[in-house]
Amino acid sequence: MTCPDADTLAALANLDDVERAVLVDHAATCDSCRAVVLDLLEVTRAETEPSTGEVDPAMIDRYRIERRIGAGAMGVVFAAYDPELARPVAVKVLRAGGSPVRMRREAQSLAKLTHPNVVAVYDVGEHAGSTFVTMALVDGENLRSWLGGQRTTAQIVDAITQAARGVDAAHRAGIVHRDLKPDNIFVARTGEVLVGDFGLARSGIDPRAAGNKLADGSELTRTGGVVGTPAYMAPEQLDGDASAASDQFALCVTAWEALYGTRPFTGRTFDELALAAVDGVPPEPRTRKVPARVRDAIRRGLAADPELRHPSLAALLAALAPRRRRWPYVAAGTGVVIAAVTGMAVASRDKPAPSCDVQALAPWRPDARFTAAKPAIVAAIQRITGRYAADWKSLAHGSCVAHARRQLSDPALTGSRR
Amino acid sequence: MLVVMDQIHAAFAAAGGTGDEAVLAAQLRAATEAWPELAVAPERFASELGRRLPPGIALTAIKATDVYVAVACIDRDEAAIVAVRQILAKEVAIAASKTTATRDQVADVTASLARVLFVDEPDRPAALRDYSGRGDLKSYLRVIAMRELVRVVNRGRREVNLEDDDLLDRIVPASDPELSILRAQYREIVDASMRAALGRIDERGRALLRYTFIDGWTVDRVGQVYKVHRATAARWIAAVRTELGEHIRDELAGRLRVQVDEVDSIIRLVQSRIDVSLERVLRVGP
Repeated sequence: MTCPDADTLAALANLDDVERAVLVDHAATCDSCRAVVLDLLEVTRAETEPSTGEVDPAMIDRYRIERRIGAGAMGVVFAAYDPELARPVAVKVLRAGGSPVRMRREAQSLAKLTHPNVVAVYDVGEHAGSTFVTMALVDGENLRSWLGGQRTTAQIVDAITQAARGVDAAHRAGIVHRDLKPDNIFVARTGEVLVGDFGLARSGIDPRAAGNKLADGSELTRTGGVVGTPAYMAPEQLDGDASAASDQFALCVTAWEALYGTRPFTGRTFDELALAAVDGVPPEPRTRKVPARVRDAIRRGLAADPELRHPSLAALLAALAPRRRRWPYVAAGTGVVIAAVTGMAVASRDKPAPSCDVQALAPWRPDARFTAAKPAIVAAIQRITGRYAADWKSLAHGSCVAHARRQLSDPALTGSRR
Repeated sequence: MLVVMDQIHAAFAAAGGTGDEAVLAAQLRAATEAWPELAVAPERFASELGRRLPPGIALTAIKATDVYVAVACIDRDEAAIVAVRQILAKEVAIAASKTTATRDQVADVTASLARVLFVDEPDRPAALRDYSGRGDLKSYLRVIAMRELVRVVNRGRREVNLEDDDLLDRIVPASDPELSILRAQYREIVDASMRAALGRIDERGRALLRYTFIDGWTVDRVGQVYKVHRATAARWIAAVRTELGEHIRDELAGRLRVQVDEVDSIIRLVQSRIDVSLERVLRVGP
């Protein structure tokens, strides 16, 4: 067929299916019509179906799109090729909803961050009204699928440690991840672990306001808003308060899941999840033997109260790292202090960890009608009582441990020592 | 007003337009309300609408407000020309972002398009005279811009070969060792057979092969572009692949004049390559 005139092409969106298909056939072998047809089909999509991403674009900015490698609540990820720098890249087109200015700013600050455990960000821009981010294309798989293979405890701890290094580097650069989970952590074929998708999940949308149901407690994809994945979110983040401490919590949920195959906290709603976290960290499943230092490091990172977690990712890393016997190398001048410290350390190593499973205070659960009528008040009270319960629990736990160690306090005080 | 509308409709009909007087009145009202700063005489506008109306298209489907500003441009209305130039600049910029056009090329195209759109040349009337309003003006400008950009970008470059040879190369990747041997032995015959086989595929089938093999489109994308379900697209692609395989077999058998068994073994080799490539193309999710 001969090339259709511009007037016909301009009406591409209004053509009937037969006319349109004939044009598409023609475009397969006609260079100039192909550019026009693909361009217009894309325009039509962008204008009529803003975020469903019906037809994959052929180009995004200067990047040649090769295939779709993933799609989620946050957007669509393509494997692409950068002809300018002749390298493969991943292009993530973010769904509308968040603030593009903030996303840009964060992508820009992330682009400045170079760390072996962070997926490098190359570029950020606008395409058809959406923000896109260009990143290194990791040749490997995500942590979730990597865990599908049988992995040893040492391998998993190493992977989590590498991921923690990446997150730590980002925190030092002032970037909070907000959506750490096994799907955002990548294990390269070469064995390096890289954390991706930093800071892209921020939405400014209160997750509670947009509906309070979790599909199955695993992955929540909600149309319209972009949120973190609730199962990995710290209680305070469920209230919209993301921070380095909530990243630590999410990483520890990920670590727990990686080691034991289950998540520490479950719930069908945001409130149930938050309350489960406030109720305290459950005992580790007996599916795997995990070194005590790793267990303790993860447990601490899962504290409902951010204040009770490790003060930083660096501190979590230190807690995860195998202990070295540093004491003998310390200068002799401080001998007395060292003797005391080593003595204590040895003592606590020798003695089995005291069993102080403090019963948590029962969370306040108002009746359904009241919750329905005054959701904001209920949420506020639950937050306050939750915080109180967490404080009480840590006090009780501390008191119980102190008693076990030093036989000082009265077990009746907590009533829970077994 | 009724009398006036009568005359306006008469001008519309005289220019070849078919359509209800009430629809024409509504279109006229919409156009003048959208462009209060323009002053195209109603009869003039109606006559242009009538002249431009493509056969078989209802007047209701026409973007009359866009035709209105196009007519104003032809009548050398400054405000209209400024408005259209603004849209043009934006559409050229968007189109250019999808090509490899340089900044200078974009500037050239913007300037030359202004001529093409607004100025009547002895051999070619101003392009805005050809705009019917079937699609919106923005899209019309975008099409013209994209075509011109592609022309400018491709100028001086080796003619891009969209013919069958690159398709053959994709179906039979030259890098494949097995096939290299086959091709080394039977190269001319294999290639000629495949070319002939392709020649027997209809235009839709060839387009599908091209989009899937050369452009690497997924079933989903094929379905979306052709507006059919992905299952239909997958069926189309599978059918054209089978058809191609059968044609290649026929053509090879005819050319080689050998035992069918031998052809079959060659076919199997060729077919295995096609299957591998198609597997990639047809990567269908659960």
